[in-house]
Amino acid sequence: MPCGARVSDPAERGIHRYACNDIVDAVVIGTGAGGAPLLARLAQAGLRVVALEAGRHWDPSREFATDERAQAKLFWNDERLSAGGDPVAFGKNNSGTGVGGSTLHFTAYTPRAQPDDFLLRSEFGVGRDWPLSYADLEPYYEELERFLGVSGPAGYPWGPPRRTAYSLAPLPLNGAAELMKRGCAAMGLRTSPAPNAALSARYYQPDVGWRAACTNRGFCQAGCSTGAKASMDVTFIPVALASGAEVRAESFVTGFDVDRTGRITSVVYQDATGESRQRCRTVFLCAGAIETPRLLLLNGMANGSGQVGRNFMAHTGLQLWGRFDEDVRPYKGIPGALISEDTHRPADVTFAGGYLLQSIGVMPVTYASQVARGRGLWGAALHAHMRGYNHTAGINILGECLPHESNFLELSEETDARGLPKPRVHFTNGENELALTAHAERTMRAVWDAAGARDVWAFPRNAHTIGTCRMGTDGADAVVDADGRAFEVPNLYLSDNSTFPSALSVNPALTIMALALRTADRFLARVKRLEA
Amino acid sequence: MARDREERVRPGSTARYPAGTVRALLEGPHVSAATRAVLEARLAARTTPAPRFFDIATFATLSAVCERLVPESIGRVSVAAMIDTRLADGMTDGWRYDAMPPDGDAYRLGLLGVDEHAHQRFGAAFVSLGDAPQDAVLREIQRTDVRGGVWDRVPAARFFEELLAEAVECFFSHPLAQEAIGYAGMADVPSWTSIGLDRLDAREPRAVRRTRE
Repeated sequence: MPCGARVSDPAERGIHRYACNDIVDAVVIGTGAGGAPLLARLAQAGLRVVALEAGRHWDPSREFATDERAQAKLFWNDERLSAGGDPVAFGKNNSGTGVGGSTLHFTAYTPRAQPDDFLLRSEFGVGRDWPLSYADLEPYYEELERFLGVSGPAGYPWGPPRRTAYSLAPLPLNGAAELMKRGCAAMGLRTSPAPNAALSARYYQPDVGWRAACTNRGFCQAGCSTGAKASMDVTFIPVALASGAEVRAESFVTGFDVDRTGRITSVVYQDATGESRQRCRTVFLCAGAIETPRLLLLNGMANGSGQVGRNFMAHTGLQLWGRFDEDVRPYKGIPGALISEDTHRPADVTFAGGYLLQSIGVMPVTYASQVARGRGLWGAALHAHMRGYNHTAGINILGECLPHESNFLELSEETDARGLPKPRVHFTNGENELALTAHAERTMRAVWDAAGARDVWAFPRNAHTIGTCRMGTDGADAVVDADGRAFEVPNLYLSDNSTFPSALSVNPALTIMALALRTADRFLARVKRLEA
Repeated sequence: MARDREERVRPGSTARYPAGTVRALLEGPHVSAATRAVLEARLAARTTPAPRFFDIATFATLSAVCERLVPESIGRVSVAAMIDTRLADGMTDGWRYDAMPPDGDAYRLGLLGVDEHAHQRFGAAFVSLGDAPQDAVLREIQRTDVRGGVWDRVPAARFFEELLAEAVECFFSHPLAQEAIGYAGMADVPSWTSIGLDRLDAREPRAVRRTRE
């Protein structure tokens, strides 16, 4: 047995393609939206690549139940400490584990960022501009929408004209979407069926085969059992495996061996057999905006700028719930079926950036938990409220969050089961987030009133983990360059939401994947250049 | 598909759904094997006689508290037992408030604080109080209208929020609690075909009557 416990390709369990003494071309740490597309791209280019994934390689059809409690196994459940004025919830709120990472439980919502999202500082004088533009990512957005099989409208009303259409027709509107459409129409706000990376019809992909159409099970946030949702395990991972990549599940990376020139020579990880090492030429760290900076801080790496762990951002994600006469049955249909980006850059406001509006379905345990935390209902009042579950519908915002000096991640003095320091994340909404959220709440309440809602209540929250290892043009105040390459470690790349210099006024998944493909292409071009 | 206009439940009222719908679904063709296995196990679960994490007295306090927070029965397992099992197994949900001690310590301390406050306000242990004084104790903790002892060290509102959220998540994860609110998402095969407003597939339960709040 060379090293590690097993290969996670179900067809090849127990077989290692590469020995630990082999010097592979690349080790990819993490198999979510940042790691998997890049892994596939490198493998397809003929590189010898190994992915190390902390979680298991699930068999969704056999192991995913339509049950929220059972599916908690998909969340990153190692404890994080949430500090600051608005402590952010982790676990089911944002971070995943298993081959596929957080895409195992993302909502499949895949709007593109708009060109001005990358120019926040130029437009508003706050936050940061990106060291790349919409034009740099546009070809990747197009490729991803085609490859993943994104279902969406024939003409998308916002952003620049599209050169390509969505692969599939939109998924059906559920009750919440119909209500938001009604309310927005009364308010003069445009809406559209949302782009969702879940299939409205069966879809063929090379190296993957046919994926079945969505069954409208409404369960995206707790695991898709049919493969209709384009999580990484049913899209890029099969492509990577078919091209010779090796995926080692249940392998938790703890450190690196570094030579005298500062280059990483091997990745150190824990698996069922104890501690293992994989020798490699290049490392792609794709563990997300909490675990990526945590690993770098643990190892004192790539942090000459002092920016590792800084500028933690979490989208403003206020949810507004209401009770309707109609039977809504919030457990059916793609949860985020409808979108409006009319509030992307609202007129006559004092805050920077903007937000999108999204209709939301909800599963009962998640809703009950929000009622408990947000309204504090218990006893008879709780039961009475919950008996209205089937008549409940929500709208959600996804809003800009500026980077703030006081929002950051650090290593705490408390250790986890592995003996490693738990991360402590400080987060407080600033004036911009509060002003934006207040604007959004007024808009949403007007929409819900117009749609006929009663007993309307707001649940303030922040979602997604962003920032902490930002990209930039100057190694003095950024961790990586626009290609994702660390300024200080020549063979280390980061590819995940940690590198975002600003949060974007859209959901991050599609942009994380686009950046991953771009980082892979830039790396391959660089290798080619050096070889020539 | 059927539209139950007569049975439609108005806001400000609470729907009632028939009993037995989850059992019927489990015996029919609409629940996948993976889902059935989980739900059958949960329905069959029984509370073990002795807690594994808490001592007997603290567990009795927790049980009494949970009966006020989610006062309806769900089969033969109690919410308090589900919490005890989770803590005994050392499971967490991925985060905690930095202001709070680790989950196990927070529960032990907080439940001690519940008893301290019960003694302070009513001169007796929480478990020996009636419903109304028990509710008063809990409401004051929820509002941080408490002081002294444990509550000088543990933020009362945060303790209450964490306890309530876990109790509620345990309760509504039980198939019988889900049945009571008319949830049928566990009927996960084949596709749902009636997706829009006021549209129901045949396998979805209809409200049987409405009751003014």
